[in-house]
Amino acid sequence: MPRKKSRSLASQLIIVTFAVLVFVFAASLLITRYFVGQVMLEHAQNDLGFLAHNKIHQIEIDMRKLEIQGKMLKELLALGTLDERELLSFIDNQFIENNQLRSVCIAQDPVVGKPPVLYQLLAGKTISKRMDGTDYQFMDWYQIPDLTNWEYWSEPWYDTYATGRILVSYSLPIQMAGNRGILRLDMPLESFQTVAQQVKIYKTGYAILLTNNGTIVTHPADSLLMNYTFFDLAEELGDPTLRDLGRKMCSGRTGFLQIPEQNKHPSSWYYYMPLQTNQWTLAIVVPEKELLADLKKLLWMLFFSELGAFTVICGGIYVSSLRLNHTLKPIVESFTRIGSGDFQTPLPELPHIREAEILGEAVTAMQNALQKYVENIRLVTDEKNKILNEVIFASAIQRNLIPKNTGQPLSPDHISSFGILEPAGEIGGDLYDYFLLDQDTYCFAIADVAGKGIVAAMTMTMVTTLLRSIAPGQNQPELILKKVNTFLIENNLESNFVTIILGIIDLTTGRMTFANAGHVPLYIVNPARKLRKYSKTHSTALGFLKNLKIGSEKVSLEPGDTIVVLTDGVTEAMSSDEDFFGYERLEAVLNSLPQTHPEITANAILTEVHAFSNQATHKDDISILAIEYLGNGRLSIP
Amino acid sequence: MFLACSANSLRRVLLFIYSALLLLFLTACRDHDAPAKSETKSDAMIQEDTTTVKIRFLPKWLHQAQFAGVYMANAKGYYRDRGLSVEIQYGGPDHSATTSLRDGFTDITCLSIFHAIRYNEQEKPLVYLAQLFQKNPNMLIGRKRTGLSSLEDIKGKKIGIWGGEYGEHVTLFLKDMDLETESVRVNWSVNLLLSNAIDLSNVMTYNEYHRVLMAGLDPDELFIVPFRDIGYDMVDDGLVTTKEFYENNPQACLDFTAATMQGWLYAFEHPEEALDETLRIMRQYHLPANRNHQAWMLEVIKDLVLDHPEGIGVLSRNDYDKVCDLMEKHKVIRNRIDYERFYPFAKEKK
Repeated sequence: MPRKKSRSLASQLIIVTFAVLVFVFAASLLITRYFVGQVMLEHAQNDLGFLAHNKIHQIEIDMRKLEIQGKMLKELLALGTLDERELLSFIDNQFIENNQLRSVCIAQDPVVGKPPVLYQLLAGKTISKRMDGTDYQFMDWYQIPDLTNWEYWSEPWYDTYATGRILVSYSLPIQMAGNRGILRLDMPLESFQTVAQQVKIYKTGYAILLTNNGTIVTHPADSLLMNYTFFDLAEELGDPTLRDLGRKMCSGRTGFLQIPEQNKHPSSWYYYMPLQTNQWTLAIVVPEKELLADLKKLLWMLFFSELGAFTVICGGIYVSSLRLNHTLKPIVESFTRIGSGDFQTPLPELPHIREAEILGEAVTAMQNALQKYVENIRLVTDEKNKILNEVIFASAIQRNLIPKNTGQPLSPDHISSFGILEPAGEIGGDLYDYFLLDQDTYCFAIADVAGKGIVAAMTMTMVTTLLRSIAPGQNQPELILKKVNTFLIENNLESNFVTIILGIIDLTTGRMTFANAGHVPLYIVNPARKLRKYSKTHSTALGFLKNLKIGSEKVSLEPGDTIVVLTDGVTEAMSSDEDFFGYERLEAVLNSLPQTHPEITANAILTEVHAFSNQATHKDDISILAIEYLGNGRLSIP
Repeated sequence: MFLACSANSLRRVLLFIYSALLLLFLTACRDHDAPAKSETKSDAMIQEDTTTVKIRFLPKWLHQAQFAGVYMANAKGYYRDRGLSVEIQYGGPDHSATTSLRDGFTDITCLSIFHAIRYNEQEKPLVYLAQLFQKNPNMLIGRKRTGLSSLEDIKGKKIGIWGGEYGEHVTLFLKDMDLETESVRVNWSVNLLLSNAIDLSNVMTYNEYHRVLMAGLDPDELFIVPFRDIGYDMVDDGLVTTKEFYENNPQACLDFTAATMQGWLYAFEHPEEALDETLRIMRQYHLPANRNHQAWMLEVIKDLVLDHPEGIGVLSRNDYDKVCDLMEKHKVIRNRIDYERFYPFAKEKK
C-alpha cells in the first residue's frame, strides 16, 4: 500500500484553519444577510407604507371634498328649493371651493324626457348646457349607480362631449321633484396621476395607480397608461405571480410582496394600499437591489474585513508553524537516528514547552527501555543459539544410536534388516532398533514417543539405551516393555508416553514373540506377497499407567517372510487434500513390492509416502523397519 | 400540452388547405370572367388595368384585430393587385354599419348574419359576400358566487345585453332557451358586471371575455355559457354589401372578398406582423392599443374563421338555414330569402 504523501505541519494547520474560517465567515455572511435583510425589509416596509399612506391622503383630499360637495348638492336637489339661477350660483361656489372639480352633471331618469344638464367652469364663469342626443342612460356613470342605487366612483373615461379630457366621476343617485336621477361630479384623472407620479424613491422606485379593474393609471411606461390593466401586463410577461399580486392589490388589501425576477424584469418589492374612497390601489415599486443596496454594501465590508482577518490569522499560523518547524527539526533528526537503531543518540535541547519536555522525558525513557530490550534479545539469542547447537549435537547422538543399515547380515541363512528414520525436525521422537540378544535370538523394536523436540528425543534416547541394557537375557518382550514402562513412569518428568512394538525372534526356529503397546499394526509379507496384518495391541502406550498389563503374541516365521513395522508418521501422512495415507495405501504398496528385500520394501513405502504427502505440511517423524527372516542360520551383527 | 400541440398542428394544416382552396377559388373566378373579358377585347383589358374600383369598407366596430384580415389585405397590396382601391373607414358605436350602407356612405361592411338577414328584410336588399366567423363567439358570463351554476339559474337574473342589432343574437338565444330574465341594455361595458350592477353579461370570446379576465377575474370564478357549446352554434360575422352595389360591381365584390380572405390567411400566418399593423391603425385613430388584448383577439378569431371544411369565407346552406329557421321561429323574419340570392358566391363555391 503506497504511503500517502505527508504535508508539513504549517500547511496542515493552514488548510484546517482555512476550512474552519471559510465556514465561519460564510455562515456569518449568510446569517448577517438574512437577519439584517429582514430588518432592512421591515424598515423599507414602514417607509414605503408611510409614503403610500401620505400619497393616498393627498389624492383623497380632493376626492373626499368632491364626495361632500356631491352629497350637499344631492340634499339641495332633493329639497327642490333652488331655482335654476340659485343652483348655478351654488355650483359656481363649488368650483371655487374645489379647484379639481371640472364639471357637474345632473341627469334625470330618461322617462322624464329631459336631457341631462352639464355645468362647467369656462373662462372663470360657470355655464350650464343641455346634453341633447346622448345615450347617457347607458353610460357607466349613470347606469351603475342607477342599478345599484349606490354612489359610484367611475373608472377613468374619456369625455368627448364636454371637456375632451379623461375624467374620473363620482356619481350618486338623487331624487328631483319625485323623479330618480343621477348626479355626477367630475375631476380630471391628472389630479390622481400628478400625485402618484411625484413618487420617486430610492434610485428608480416609482408608484403605480390601479383602478378597481386593474387599469394602469400611472406607470413609468406611458404606453401602458389607460391601455393595459395590471393583468394584461402579467399575461404579456407570462408571469402568474404578477397576476396573483394584481388580484391581491385589486381586492382592497394592503401588503408588501416580492415579485421575483422574470423576463428581464428585475426582482422588485411592491407595497400596495387601497384608496379608501374608491378602492383604487396605490402601489410603490422598488427594485430589490435598490431596496437592499445598503445590505449589499454592508456584506462587502464584512467580506473584506473577514478576508483581512483571515489573511492575518493564516499568516500568523504560518509564521508560528515555521518557528515550530525550526525547533522540531533537530528533534526529528534525533528521532530519525534513534529510529534507525542508534539508541545512544543524545536528544537536542528541547524548547521550554511543557509538551516538548514531556516528549523528551518519554523519548529518554524509551531509549533506555530499548537499550535494555536489545540487550535482553541479544542474551536470549545467544542462549537460543547455544541450545540449538546442543540440539544439533543431540541429534547426531540420536542418529548414532539407531542401527546403521550397513554391515547387515546378508547371508540367506540369516536375517536381513533395513530401517529408515526421517525426523520432522532436527531431532525426532521415533526410534527403531534391532540387535542380537544372543547367538540365536534377535530383538527388534520400533517406537514412537509422543510429542516432539528435545523432550521426545531424550525420551527416545533413554528408551533405546534402556532396551539395550535390559533386553539381554530376556525372551519375553512383555517383560522388557514392563520395565520400560516402569522406568518411564518413574523418570519421565514430562509424562511423555511411548507406543512401541518389541519383537524377539528365535532364529533357529523362526518363532517370533512380539508385544504391541499401542503402536500401529505389524505386517508380515511372504515371498508370494501374501500379507498378514497384526493389529491387536497388547497394551496401551507405555509411560501412561503404572501397573500396566502387557501381553504378547507368537508368530511362526517362514524363510522369506518380511516383517514390516512402522510409525504413524507413515499412516497419518497427509496429502494436500488433507487425506491420510492410511493402511489401504500402505497395504497396496506391500502387496505390489517387486521384491521382499528389506531395503527395497522400506524405501518403496517411503517413496509412496513422499509422493502422497504434502511435504510442506508433513509434521511427524517417519520410521520404517523391514526385517526379512531368511531361515535357520547364524547371524553376524557388526 | 399534447392537445394544444395537436390543435396548433391542425390549424397549420387547415391554413395550408385553405390557402390552396383560395387559390383554386381565385383561379375559378378569373376563368368565370374570362369570356366577358375576351368580348371586350384589349381595350377593355387595358381599361381594367388602368381603372381602379374604389370600395369603402366600414368595420362594424372600432379598429381592432377583429378586422386584421382587411388591414393585411390592404397593407400587402392584395386589393391593389385586383384593381381595387379600398378605403377602410372608422367604425364603432357611433357609426352604424347598416345606416352607413343604407345612406350610401359605405359599400361593404361586416355584420352578424342575423343582422344581415333582418336588415335585408327591412331595408335595402343585401348580399352576403362571405361568412367570416364559422363558430358563434357569443357567451354569457357571470360570477359563480351569485348562485350561478346551471342554465336554470339564469332565470330571473339581471342580464346585460348590448343595445340594437348587437344584442339581437342573445335575445333570440334567451327566447329559444325559454329563459325569462331581467334584461338590461348595456353599451358594451364590462364595468357593470365587474361592479356587480348586473348578474350576467353578454360578451364575445374574442373581446369582452378577455377584458373581464384582464380585470382580475379567473375563469374558474366565472359561470360561462358559450352559445356554441349548448346547441346554439350559429355562424356570426360576415362580409355584406347592398344588392345594388353587388349588381353594379360583381367582379369588384368577388375580388374584395378574395383579397380579404387572402389577407386573413396572411394575418394568421404572420400574427406579429398583423398585430403591428392593427396597433398602428389603432394608434393612428388614438385608440388604446393594447397588444396583449389584440393578440388574444387574433388568436380566438383564427379559431372562429378557420373552422369550415369547405374553406375560408364559405357560408354553407345548412348554416344559413339554421339561422333562418331560428329567426322564423321567433318571427323575426316572415319569409326567408333564397340562399343563392342572399349569398351569390354559393355558385362560385360549387
